[in-house]
Amino acid sequence: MSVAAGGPGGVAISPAKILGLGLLGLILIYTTPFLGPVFGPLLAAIGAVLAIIWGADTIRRVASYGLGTGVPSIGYMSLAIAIVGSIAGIAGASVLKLDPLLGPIFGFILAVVLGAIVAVLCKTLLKMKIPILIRGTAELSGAAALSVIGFSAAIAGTFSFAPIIVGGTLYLGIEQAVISTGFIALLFILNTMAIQHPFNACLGPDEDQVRTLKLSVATGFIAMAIVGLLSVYTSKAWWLVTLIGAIAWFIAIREFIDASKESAASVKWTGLWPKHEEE
Amino acid sequence: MDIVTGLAVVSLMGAAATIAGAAEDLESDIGSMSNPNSQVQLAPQMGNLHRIFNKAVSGEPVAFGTWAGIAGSVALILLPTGFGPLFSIATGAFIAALVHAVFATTSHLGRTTGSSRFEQPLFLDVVTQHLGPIAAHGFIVTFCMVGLSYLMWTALGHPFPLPMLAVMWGITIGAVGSSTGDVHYGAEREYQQYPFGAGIPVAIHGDITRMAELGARNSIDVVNFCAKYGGPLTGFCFGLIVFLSFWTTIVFGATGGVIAGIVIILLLIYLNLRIEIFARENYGEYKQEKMEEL
Repeated sequence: MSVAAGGPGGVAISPAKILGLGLLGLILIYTTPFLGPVFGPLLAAIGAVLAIIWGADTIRRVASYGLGTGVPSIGYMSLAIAIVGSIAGIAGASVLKLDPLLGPIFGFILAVVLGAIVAVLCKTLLKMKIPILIRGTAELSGAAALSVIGFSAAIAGTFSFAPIIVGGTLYLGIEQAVISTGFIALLFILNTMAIQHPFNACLGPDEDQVRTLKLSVATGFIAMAIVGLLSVYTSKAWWLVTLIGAIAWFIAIREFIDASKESAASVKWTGLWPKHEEE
Repeated sequence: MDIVTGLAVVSLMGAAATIAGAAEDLESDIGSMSNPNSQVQLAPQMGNLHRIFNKAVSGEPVAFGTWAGIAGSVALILLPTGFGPLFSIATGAFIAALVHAVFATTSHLGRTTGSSRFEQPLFLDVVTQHLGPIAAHGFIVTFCMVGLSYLMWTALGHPFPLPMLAVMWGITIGAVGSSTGDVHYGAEREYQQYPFGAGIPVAIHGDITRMAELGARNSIDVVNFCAKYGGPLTGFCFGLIVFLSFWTTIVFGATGGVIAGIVIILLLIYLNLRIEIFARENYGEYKQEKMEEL
């Protein structure tokens, strides 16, 4: 499809700011073990949503070089890299008997490196001619990894791989709470959807960064609301995560719908399309 | 488990898969997903404004993987509460249907405004009229797919957890649905003003049928047409895939099942060949001069 080939359209928010937002997500995820069983999972989930916004903007930059139907594919690919990277990082910290605090940063770095390797292969072997492919795929994989780690931490209440007891509270750990239950498969596909949907849904010659990012906030928070539901048995904060996710989703989706109505050629409740003069 | 019980479970799974397959294809027809989508997207650029729903929620595999995954995960949460599997799966499918409707709305709004320079109006009644059928068909699909996964998990004792099976079956039905039935919409219903069997040459790309028997065509008209062949065919296809792939191992055991599977694949290849030869002999080759008369 050639509707959006040739680089991104106007940029209202610079990539550096969005990158900063993503890294703020990483910091929020890191506060999880220190804020107790209620605010810890909440901030982890919000960190994941920030990572989703970062990922959606990165997809926008990479995919506007004419990926077209490849938008969902690069989303899929980045989440596959992210799952491998994040689980290897978190489990690696546990297997090597290191501090569990090193897990998320290990996972993030592994995903970024894997993403860069995949992008180099795409450039050299598949001869893809996208100038920002390596940086874009690396950023995208990192963002996807943060979204997986953040939501996993929100479900488990901690980002430790194995069960731990902190301050008298037993946390099941990511292995039991997220992997054994199979929620990791949902995180894979749900985060793929949350990251690739905003640009895929808004794509076209009149695509607008702010509108796309509003949609990414909405997809991120709806994913957060669902993640809240999944943590009923493992986290005391499940209702708070669901509630805040749902309220924030409602605000974001209303903003997106208003922005869409403003930018549409015309908005009608019913009727036929306008008749054009025969040329 | 004895063979009779196993066959009963597999038949039930096949029935669920058949219903899910038909509903999945019709759901994607209401939203013009996959195969027909690029032409709905292209139409306003070629000056052909329309009242058709443009639902670009990724490809069908990702979309149905997500809906089935949400339904399966919520069902897993509800199962220990004692409400029973039917209620749990139905609640999961209900929540998935809500999310489905949200994603369908945002993609229609986004794609319409994303190419607003071509003057395609944003018809709000198109959104509201089609959301019900989209969410309802999506509910049927996710209910059947999570039901199938539940049977596989409990009755057949599959070692994978329920959400993982649901995601995998969701991706599978999305893939089967987008490759089997969508052609019926994308190649036939979408170009109905051109002669049957004429193909879609590049010259007519974007010139989709926009008028119905009375007034403008909407996506409910499309699904009404596709419910006759496209939907049931997809259901039949997916039902056979599910039934045959489990039936072989239940009846012939693990090793015998693999051999039976290979025999079935060879038979299907032969059948496909016969159908193609039959079609070529009866309908002949595509005739170029017929298009020139247009």
